[in-house]
Amino acid sequence: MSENELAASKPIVLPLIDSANPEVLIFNTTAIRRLRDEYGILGVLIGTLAQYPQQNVFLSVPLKLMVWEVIWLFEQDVCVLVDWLKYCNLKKDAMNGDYKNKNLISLDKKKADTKPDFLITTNDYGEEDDWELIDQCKVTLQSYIDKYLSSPNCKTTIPQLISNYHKFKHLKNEGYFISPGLKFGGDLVIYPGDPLRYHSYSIIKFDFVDINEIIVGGRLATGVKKNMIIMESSHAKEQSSVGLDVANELFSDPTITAYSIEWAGFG
Amino acid sequence: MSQIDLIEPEDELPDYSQLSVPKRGEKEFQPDGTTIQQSALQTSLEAMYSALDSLRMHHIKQKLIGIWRTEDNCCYIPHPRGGYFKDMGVPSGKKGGVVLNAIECLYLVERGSMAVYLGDGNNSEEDIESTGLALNLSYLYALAKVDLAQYQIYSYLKRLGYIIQPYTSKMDHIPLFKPIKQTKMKPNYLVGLARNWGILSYPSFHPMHFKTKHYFNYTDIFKSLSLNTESIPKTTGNLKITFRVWKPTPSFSKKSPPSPDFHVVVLDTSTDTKFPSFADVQALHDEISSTNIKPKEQVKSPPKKKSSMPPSKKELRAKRQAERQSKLDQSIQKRNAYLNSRDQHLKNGSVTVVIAIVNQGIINFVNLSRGNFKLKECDNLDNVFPNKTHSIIYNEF
Repeated sequence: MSENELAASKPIVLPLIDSANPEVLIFNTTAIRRLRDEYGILGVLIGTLAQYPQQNVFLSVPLKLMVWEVIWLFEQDVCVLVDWLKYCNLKKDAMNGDYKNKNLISLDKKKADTKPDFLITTNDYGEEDDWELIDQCKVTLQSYIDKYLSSPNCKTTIPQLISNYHKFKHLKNEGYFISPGLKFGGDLVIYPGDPLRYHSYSIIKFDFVDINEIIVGGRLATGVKKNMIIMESSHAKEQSSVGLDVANELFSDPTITAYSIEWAGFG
Repeated sequence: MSQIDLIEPEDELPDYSQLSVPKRGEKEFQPDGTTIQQSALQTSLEAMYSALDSLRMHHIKQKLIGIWRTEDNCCYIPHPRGGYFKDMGVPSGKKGGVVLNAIECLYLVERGSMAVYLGDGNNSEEDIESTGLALNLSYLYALAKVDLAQYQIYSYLKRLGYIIQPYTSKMDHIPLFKPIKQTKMKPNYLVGLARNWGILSYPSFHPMHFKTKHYFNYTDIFKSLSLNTESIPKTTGNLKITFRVWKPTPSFSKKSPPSPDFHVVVLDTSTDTKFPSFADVQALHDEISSTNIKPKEQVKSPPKKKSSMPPSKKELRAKRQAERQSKLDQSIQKRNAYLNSRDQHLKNGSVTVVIAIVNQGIINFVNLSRGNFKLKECDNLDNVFPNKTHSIIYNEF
């Protein structure tokens, strides 16, 4: 097995940062590549790009993942969720106070003994994932979901989360690239290929009750050369959430029906 | 597809042309399976990945070092330098140190302008570089535990050059209610007599008012018809103002900041897309109007350099308009200026709050202003015509 194949067989490390909401943020650029190239998971880059720190068009790490993307990676069984603070602290403790900081570098590589002239901050620990420590800091899907739902800002219920995830999964498994949909006032936006190259097809709305919203959405979507899609899941929503095996429910495959809406102006 | 021409030399920083993701027009509607499309996509991807891999750094001459204090969730900077501290941080200690909150600290590290070390409480400031652990970005995120929505808005506005400080409520220092003058006339015998003789009229809401009052112009009639609407009672809302934001000004001082240009409320709608309730918005407006008592002094922008470009159509039109205005009578000029600024007041309302909506990491801004149709407390209108009621129906000059 070559070195690359070995790396590719390892699960992708998803750092879980416990802030106001539990956030999954990716700092490792190799992981970002793998997510995009192998699994079509886009996420959203939210960090300042250090070379061009005064613009908002090109951003950099960390890459923030949506909750549905995380669950989907769990269902594919290709990731491991890590309590990142615990992991970092363990790594620090393992050094026993002998830190040997390597953040002073010299950019002039031609001369070997030049004085370091730049102070850098790395994204993360680079390629050296410490799997022994990672095993100690694993977070299960169940406890991630529990954390997500119990955070004070979260207003989703378990049945809603399950139903929305089923809709996400349906689209993902159809091969679409998926981004959050606020730009067009929807829940998701889907692309036929990588959004770096292709325009999006459709604006996705999960829940609809108001006919006026359908008209507004359909008309807006048609105006920006897209269609609007509303989705319904056959999964019974009215289940009591007590004693529900969330992971099992999430990984089930109910029938999803999707309706495409375009604004039809007669005449 | 050849791999050779895609690999970039490592020690070269990518320039903008390499960075640029294809623009709108250059994108395509769907994959057609051609190699051309595939290699164009690959180029874009590689440009993006190489941008992500580039170093986050600053030169040793501008060295800026912070010490993370886990117990206080903040970052101490013993020797602040550079232009970052005009609006960031609070002075701490006697030696000119500064303490940054978690959001500010994260922002500076992420743009490569600062390196942060983790102390264990016993390190001295001077040898922290050898005794403390240099934090990588992921460790700092894990320690800082910032509200990601707030951090995204902060860094978004910072990157655009705005001056930002966390909002602190001043409600405690300012009396909430102004005493309302109440002048209630008690009708007595003499007044009744005067009304009977037609000298004095009934007050405007009395059914007999229009039978007993004589009007000589329309404005007075309109005035008497206007309802004396009481201001809506104060409410308490669930939303809190997050940031005070100023447009970039060279003379900004964080010790005595002027009134902010914007008040920003960060709203994370990832799990709930409901718009803030009326009570919430009302409470925000009340809070802003109670803290913004002093009228904002208009900062004069420095005179623009004359550009070598020929004037645009818009500039030409404005110039012609100004020439035409200057030929008019003084009083007419004054009236036109007045009407202009009155329209601005009607259009923009009086109290503005900016709601920054963050949904799954995507940002959107919404501006909410309180309508000011009665045109109360408009100082620049009062300056032109002091004792005038500015409402739109009183068009007499």
